[in-house]
Amino acid sequence: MNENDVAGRIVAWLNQNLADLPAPTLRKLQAARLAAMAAYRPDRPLWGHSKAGYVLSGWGLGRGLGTRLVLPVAIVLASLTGLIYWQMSSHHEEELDTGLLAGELPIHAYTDPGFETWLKHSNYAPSQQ
Amino acid sequence: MPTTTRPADAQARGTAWSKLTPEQKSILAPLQPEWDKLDPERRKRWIGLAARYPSLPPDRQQRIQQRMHEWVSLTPEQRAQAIERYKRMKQLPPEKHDQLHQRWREYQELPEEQRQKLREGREATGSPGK
Repeated sequence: MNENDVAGRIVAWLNQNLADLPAPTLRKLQAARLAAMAAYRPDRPLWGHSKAGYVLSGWGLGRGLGTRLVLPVAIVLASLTGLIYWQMSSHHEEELDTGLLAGELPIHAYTDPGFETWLKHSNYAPSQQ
Repeated sequence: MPTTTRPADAQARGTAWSKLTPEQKSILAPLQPEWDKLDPERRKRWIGLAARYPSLPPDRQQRIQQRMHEWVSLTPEQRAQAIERYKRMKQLPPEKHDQLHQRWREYQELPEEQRQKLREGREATGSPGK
């Protein structure tokens, strides 16, 4: 997976889930964006003189990309990837809590070891699929 | 020497009950007695659940309230076991997952002696109610 793929996935995920993100996460995202903007120097050439002839658009990811842009973009991508992974796993745990507390089965069904044995005995356990 | 609470210490312990909003306190009320014993990550999850709670249907809200009472009565070991079993059962394909409730009812209808055998890891013979 190259940088474009990663960036595309992050953008797609954010487009879909931004509204659900908690305020602290949004603040972190905003801080990451500000850090990237601070590192970006539009008054300086982004690419070395030998690459000056390249006309790149958008994020400019790809061949001929200079270190001035690569570093902040890499930092932002790494931050976003970590942040989103943390957010997704945290969201998963919340779903787990909600599922356990609001699911069809009472909590007692999950604390009674006999029920799981009963399911296995009846070929209902995942390990016996 | 008097001790002072630094903000970093407070943050490491997680959100104090007194810092919750009235709405969060209302939703998480069953957890109040043991809130201070919860680790910061767990507190964060419960606060996350409280944020989602208003969007849930009333019957699920009611169920969550009832089960929060059950949840606080469990030991940490029982909670860990419950979460692990929940994860395993959630992996079941939808058609079998839908039958879990029925299977639970059948299990409850087994004679206590058979259920005890199952708890001990022994296969129980016979059908529910027989």
